[in-house]
Amino acid sequence: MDIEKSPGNREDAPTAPPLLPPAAPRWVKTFGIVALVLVLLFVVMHLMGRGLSGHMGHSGVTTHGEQP
Amino acid sequence: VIMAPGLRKFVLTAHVTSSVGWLGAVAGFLALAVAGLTSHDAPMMRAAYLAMDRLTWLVIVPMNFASLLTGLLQSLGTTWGLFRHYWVLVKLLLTIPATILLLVHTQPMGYMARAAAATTTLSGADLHEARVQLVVASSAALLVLFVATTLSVYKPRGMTPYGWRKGRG
Repeated sequence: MDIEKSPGNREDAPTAPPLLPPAAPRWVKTFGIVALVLVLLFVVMHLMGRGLSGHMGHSGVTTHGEQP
Repeated sequence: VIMAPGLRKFVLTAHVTSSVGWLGAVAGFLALAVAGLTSHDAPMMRAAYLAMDRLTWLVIVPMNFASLLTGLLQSLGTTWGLFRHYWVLVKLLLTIPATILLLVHTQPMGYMARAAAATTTLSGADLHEARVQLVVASSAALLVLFVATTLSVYKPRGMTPYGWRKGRG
């Protein structure tokens, strides 16, 4: 380890606050990728017709007293 | 506006209770949805869908809105903020679509309940697609709520650029 370059050992140099915000943590990036994959999967499944029709509930059931 | 400690504890209690209650109610819904899908007993299926309809409107929907509202109060009324920390933001981004999907899925749920109420001979072949959808949707909701609960407990580190700028200023 290069001791001279370690900021903690340079008492003469003022520690300037960073100008840019830190990058997103790894868990956020992983979470975002997994969420994106799941959303794409959901969209593809619906485009292939495996879900939206179920919201309409038009697969039939015969009920008592129902008129044809 | 930062809430007083007493009020903050009260809102936190309401938030934890409604959120965990929401998760538990969805788990109960999933159990009934699986029973409705796999059972060959017509009265059992009928009872399951009628119970799911009541559970949705009397427990799940109120708990959902209570959790969302108390979560917003809890974040905006404390130093956590709503957009400052990634874990709070991710929870919000999970809860809003979960709420929308819940409201969308009350439609097949209502249709199933009306069909179950109107007939005494609901069979395994009736409304198969809607019944599968209820199992899939409640499983996904349970996963989302489990992730949100985990985030609340662990509170993983990470400040958004907005939170970082607020912290400097």
